[in-house]
Amino acid sequence: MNRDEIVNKVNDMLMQNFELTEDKLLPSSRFVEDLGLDSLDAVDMLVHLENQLNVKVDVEKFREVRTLGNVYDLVYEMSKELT
Amino acid sequence: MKKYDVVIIGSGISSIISGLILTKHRKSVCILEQHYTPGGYTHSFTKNGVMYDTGAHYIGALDKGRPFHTLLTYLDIPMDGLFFPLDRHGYDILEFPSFSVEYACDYEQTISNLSTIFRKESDAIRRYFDYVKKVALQFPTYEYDSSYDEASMQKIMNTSLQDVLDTFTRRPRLQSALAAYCTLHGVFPKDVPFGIHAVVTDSLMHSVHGLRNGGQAFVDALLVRFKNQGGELFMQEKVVDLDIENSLIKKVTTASGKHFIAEWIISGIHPKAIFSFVRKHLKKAFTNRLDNIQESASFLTIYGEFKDVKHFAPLKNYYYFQQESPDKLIEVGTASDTPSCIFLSHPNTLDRKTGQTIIIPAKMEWFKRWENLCSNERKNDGAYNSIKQTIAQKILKTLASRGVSIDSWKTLDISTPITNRDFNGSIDGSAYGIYHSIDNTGVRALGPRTHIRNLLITGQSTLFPGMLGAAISGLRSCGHLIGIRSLLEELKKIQHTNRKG
Repeated sequence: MNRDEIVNKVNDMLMQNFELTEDKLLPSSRFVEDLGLDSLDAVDMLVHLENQLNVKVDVEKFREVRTLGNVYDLVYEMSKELT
Repeated sequence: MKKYDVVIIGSGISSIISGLILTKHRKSVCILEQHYTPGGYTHSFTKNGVMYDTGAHYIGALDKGRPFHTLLTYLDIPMDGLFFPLDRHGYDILEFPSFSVEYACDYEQTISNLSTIFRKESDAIRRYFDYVKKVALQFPTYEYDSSYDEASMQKIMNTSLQDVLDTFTRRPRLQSALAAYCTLHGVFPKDVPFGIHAVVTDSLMHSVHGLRNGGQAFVDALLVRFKNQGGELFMQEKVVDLDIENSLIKKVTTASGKHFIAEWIISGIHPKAIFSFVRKHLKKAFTNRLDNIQESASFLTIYGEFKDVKHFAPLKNYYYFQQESPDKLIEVGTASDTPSCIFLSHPNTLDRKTGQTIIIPAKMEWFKRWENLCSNERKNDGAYNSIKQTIAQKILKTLASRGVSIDSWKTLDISTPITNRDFNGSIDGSAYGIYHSIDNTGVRALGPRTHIRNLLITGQSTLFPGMLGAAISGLRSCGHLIGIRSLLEELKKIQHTNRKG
């Protein structure tokens, strides 16, 4: 999967599950301040990411993410490791 | 209307342990139970003067200084007469088609027993059990360690039992013997976090006890203390609605029309049941996730008695596995298949007041036709009774083929996944609630905190399987209200004193 495909998949998941509109889904969007997501939402997001992208995300690294751009980077990095 | 600090929904072990911890910390607490008997799966019943346990068959970690004993000491529960030790030198006999091995309350003995069968693998066996011990010690709510290492915890909760087994041995027969306790959490080796399997295994490696007068006597002892500390228990109060305002539960309503209000609500019932009341207040991200979580397998139980127990050594349980492959150990097929595993509880030769149970993993779909009938209708339904008898005969025949003398067995009753569902509110009669795979545990767990700000969830159906697991999860949930660190430190002190003594 290339980076664009990952961005699309992550955004689809967020729109479908968190009812976020596309215009909010920017790499600079911060979870709490811009997307209104809390730590429990982050757990749900982690599980959906893993299920939809068929990757196991490094939980310690996921704790560090603050923006959507960080999520794209993390998932891209993990999918590269898998291949 | 009285306002409680905490209303607890359900009266299983996790709920009662939560109630005890909270009332000990001077919180006003009430427990709401839908049935006429408290205890959830700890329920026991008496028929023809013989007592039968439905879910609580044996417990680990009850020797002085061990985690369950420490927790009960902390809660001031008098333990005299509640429990009796099973055979420490071999409490579980695991019968596989080509070999048989005994697990003992002693790591060295168990390693030696296994090494006798798997001579070339003795080093791997020792290293595996060393790792079990090490991992169990890292579990903060098991060893009561408030200074645990988060990264290590993540690792043991993100690694499957199968992955761990593969690092020690590739022999399916040995892997099966090491993974046998998947029966005690209901999760396949490829899915269960090694942390859970290690705690379940370690808890039994130090001490194993049966319940002298059944799980009900244990529950009664806990409830006496709960009430003495000011706790209130309301029976036959089935929760039917939760009123929500600003993501907070304002009122709990029961079927009898009563309302209960509290600062906090703790739910010990199945997560799918509790969230069904507040579904419209939850994001799709959570409800989609919840809907996709599968259940642990259910079970079918034959209650009865061997009039002649000569075939069985006293104070030992027997497991009869059909396959010698870890991915088949707890497989559930169709009603006509030979069961993958048959559990036969210890004949209690201390007295004859308690009967025996024979348990196999089962599925609700075997009994789909009858799932909407009430208990009395089912009792009088010829086809339902017939399928139960057919399955029971199959089980007994399988036991006979494994050399068990079944001539003196007398069946008293047979319960099915429908019975489990009706008595315990578990979805499809599941034995351990949700399937406790890596996807649903550890950092990915559904609780204790929830999207409803004053709702905590607890219990084996949500957090950690088994009776010890239920107790641990009660402790964990209460930690959110009174501080997990101070709670663990109090417990650690007791544990330390008891281990020294």
